[in-house]
Amino acid sequence: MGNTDKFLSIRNLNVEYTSGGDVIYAVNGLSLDLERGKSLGLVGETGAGKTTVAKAILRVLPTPPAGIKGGEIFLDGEDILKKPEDKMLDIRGRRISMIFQDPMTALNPTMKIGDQIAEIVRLHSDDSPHEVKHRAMDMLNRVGIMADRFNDYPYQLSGGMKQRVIIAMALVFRPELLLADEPTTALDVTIQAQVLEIIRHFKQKFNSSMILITHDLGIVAENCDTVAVIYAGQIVEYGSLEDVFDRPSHPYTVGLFHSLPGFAVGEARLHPIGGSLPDPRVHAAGCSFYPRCPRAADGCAAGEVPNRELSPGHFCRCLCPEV
Amino acid sequence: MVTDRKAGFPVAAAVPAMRQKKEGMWKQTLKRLSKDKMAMLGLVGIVVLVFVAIVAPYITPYSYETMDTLNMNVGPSWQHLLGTDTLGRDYLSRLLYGSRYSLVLGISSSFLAVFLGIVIGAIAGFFGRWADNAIMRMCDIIQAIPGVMIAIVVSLMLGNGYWVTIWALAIGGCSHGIRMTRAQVMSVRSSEYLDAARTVNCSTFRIIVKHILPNAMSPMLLDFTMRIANMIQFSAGLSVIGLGVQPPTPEWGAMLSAGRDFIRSSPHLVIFPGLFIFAISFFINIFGDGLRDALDPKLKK
Amino acid sequence: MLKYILQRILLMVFVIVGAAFLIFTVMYFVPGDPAQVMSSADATPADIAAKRAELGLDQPYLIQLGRFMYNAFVKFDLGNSWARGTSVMSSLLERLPRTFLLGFLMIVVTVVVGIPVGIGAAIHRGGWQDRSLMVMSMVFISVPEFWLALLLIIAFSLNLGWLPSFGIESWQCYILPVISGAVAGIANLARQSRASVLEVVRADYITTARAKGMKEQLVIYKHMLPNALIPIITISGSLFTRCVGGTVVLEKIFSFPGVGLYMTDSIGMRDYPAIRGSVVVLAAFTALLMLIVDLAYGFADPQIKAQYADSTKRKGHGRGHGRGHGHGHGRGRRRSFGGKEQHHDAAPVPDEERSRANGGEEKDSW
Repeated sequence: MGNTDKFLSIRNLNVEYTSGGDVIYAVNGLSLDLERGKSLGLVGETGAGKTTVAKAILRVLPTPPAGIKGGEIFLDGEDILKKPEDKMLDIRGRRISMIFQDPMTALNPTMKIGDQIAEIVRLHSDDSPHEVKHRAMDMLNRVGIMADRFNDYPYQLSGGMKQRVIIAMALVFRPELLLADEPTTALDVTIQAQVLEIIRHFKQKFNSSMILITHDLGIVAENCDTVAVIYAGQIVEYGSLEDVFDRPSHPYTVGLFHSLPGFAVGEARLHPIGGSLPDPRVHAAGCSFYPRCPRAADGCAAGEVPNRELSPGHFCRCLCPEV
Repeated sequence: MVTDRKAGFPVAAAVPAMRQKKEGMWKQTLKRLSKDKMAMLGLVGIVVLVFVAIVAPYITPYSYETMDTLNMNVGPSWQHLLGTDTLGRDYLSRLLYGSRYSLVLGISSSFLAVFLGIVIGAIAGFFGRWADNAIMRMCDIIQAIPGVMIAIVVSLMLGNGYWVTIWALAIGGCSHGIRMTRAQVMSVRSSEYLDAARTVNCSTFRIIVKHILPNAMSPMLLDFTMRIANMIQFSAGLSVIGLGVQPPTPEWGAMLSAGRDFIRSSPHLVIFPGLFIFAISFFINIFGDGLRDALDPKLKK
Repeated sequence: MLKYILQRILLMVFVIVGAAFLIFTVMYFVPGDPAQVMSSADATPADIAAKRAELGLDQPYLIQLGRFMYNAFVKFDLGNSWARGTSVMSSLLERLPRTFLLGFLMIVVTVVVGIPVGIGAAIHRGGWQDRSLMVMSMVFISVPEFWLALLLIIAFSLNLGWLPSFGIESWQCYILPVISGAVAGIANLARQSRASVLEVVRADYITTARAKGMKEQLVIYKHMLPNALIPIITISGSLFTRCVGGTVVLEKIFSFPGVGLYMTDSIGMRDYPAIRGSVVVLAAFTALLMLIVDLAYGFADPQIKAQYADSTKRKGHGRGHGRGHGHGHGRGRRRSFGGKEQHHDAAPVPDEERSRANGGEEKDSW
């Protein structure tokens, strides 16, 4: 993943949590790139560090216990980790915005939804109160909520509507980068499609880049140009949608596809990946997938596994990838 | 959806969560509790005071009744470490001996309050309708009246004295337990496993004992612990007003109340009993605080 | 909201009347014959019987109860003190403002000190200030208030001579009672506020607010505090009750001529009308405080606040924009009253469908 003139470029990101004396290594030397207007699917199981990456980009990780211990995040060539906090305030919600996983808890329960949208308009513009309100109502309309619900409180809305409100907040300023953290996980299947449709629609309209965090490969296939598979805080495979979906190389990626009903075509039964994520408190020397890997070999546990470029733009962090 | 069914644990809890399921809940609680330094300090304090109460007759320098007529109402000295009271009785001996009365009073009134709460709450929750309505409205009223005043009125009705005061305190303090048990019963009552229990001919009593009480255990235990300190303080408050336990019972509250008349000449008569009440309250409170965190680790972090 | 307020006021009245009923009933069954106590030692049985008749004690329970309730709540007459011979109501009315002031000051000090200290501790959590404050709060919660009062008297009145230890002659007389009554409450409230802020600090919507690009101070004031306040208000209720209870004991210790002292003095004299009256008046005082807490809760909790917004809207400009749509889809009905259970609502189907259809239209036109 060479040059840093990409729109978003993360280099060697390390994030740790400290919890009661233990250090939890959540993100370990993660690197990835994203071009302007493209979508990246960040795929991995719960606890792999997906949300932490997104929050690190926005620099809204709760510190303490979390701490960004190293690495660089370039947005348009500028390292946003080096920016002072007051410069970050202008970026958050304006250039980068985020859609949260759980719409039930991501809205302030004591504030009217309209005010919560108006608030972000007020923060980043000099509009008059009237204009602010108008813009917030307009935004509500655009995500398909009647403007007369401006004065409703979150408890009066359904889950799908709450997620639309959050999307409305994230999109008011046509962000250059949209971080969608499992935007549909908490929703009913019927509503998932609508919400994704809204996100897709706006993303195209504004030519925003997007990092779509999910564990649902189906959603990735429909929405993303590039795919990054994350395991134990590291990208284990990175490439275009075709590369990763048609020629999965890392044993973990292969395992993901095998454990998915729709993808395991022609197989009589699913093959779940045995075991679970390694203890995040231990900084293992070799490949973190080694204990669960069906292709594990002697050298795997020994030392740092290099990130190899299998074909142009298709990277895999494995000593013996399936090709 | 892919591998979540296999390994759906958040990062931090991944490994410990697996272990937790195997060990019993109480064992876990004890383990967490033993790591809490403040709670352990509280426990040590409580144990020491209970020990003192048990062995009081053997360790007190004087009998709690013996009057030293040459040294009446004197402050602390080497002869009488905490001084003597107005009748020349050794104050330290009386206080150590008094720990028996105060601890028994605190523990038994607290236990009675919780017990009454469980019984009445279970009745309210289980039989519902008018019994529930009557009991709950009664609780509404009782909770709107300050606890001290309830205890005042009840001890007016029952009269003064040691055991009477214990009952007065228990009756005054049971409304919280009633509400808690009732809520617990109500939530269980509508659940399906109770229907299941009924289908196999479980008696009402058995259902209460087997299914409802275990759920109510940990909040009740906590309530019981925290209440002991309150009860000792309430009883002392009653003594101050002229109700509750009265001298010559060497109960801390009664002693403090009796010493109040001599506050100018011998402040130690007021300071030391209060210090003991404070100490036991403090130990119980820090222990109870740790217990709460240990019972519900989600609250802490 | 108007309905909410009315409901709360009704509850308050119910509690006061209920308390009066309860107190009367309990005292009716108090053993011992007040007539005998009040009569002189050489009184004949006939004298005592006459006394009983004079006090109305020979009537059956229900008649006595009815008379008491009628007098108390219709004629606002709590009878005459047996020991003093004066009207209980007028004695209480004379003393109530003092007790009211004392309780009010305690509560104000508790709230004004306790909540900010707790919030400060939460914001600087883990630091030495926070940890020492938590230990200190445990100490103060455990200090019996009457003992603290006596210690303060020993220190500031008897030894230093700075402050008076009894009476109400000057404003200084209030200092020691208020401090002794407020300390435990402050410690309690500080702990609760701290816990409640810490609960909110971890909430997702705080991250949402930060992700909007809000300054940290603004996040605290606009998002953390309003949410942290709701549980704080809830706990305040029981603290206020304790404050009122505290005045009874503290008034005795500081010889403060309020309702509490009137009551404790009457206990020694078995002056039933006076005791009854004082308990009813103090219960009313507590019920009033509860009403205030409930109303504060109503303003802090959006579920109740939304109700308020609705009712004013309907009254103010009945044909307000767009309300019609809402009712057509059964919105008004869904806002059940005080239904806290549905905080995280189950999505009602009509709403979802309506906005879905709506969403389609809007998107196309855009």
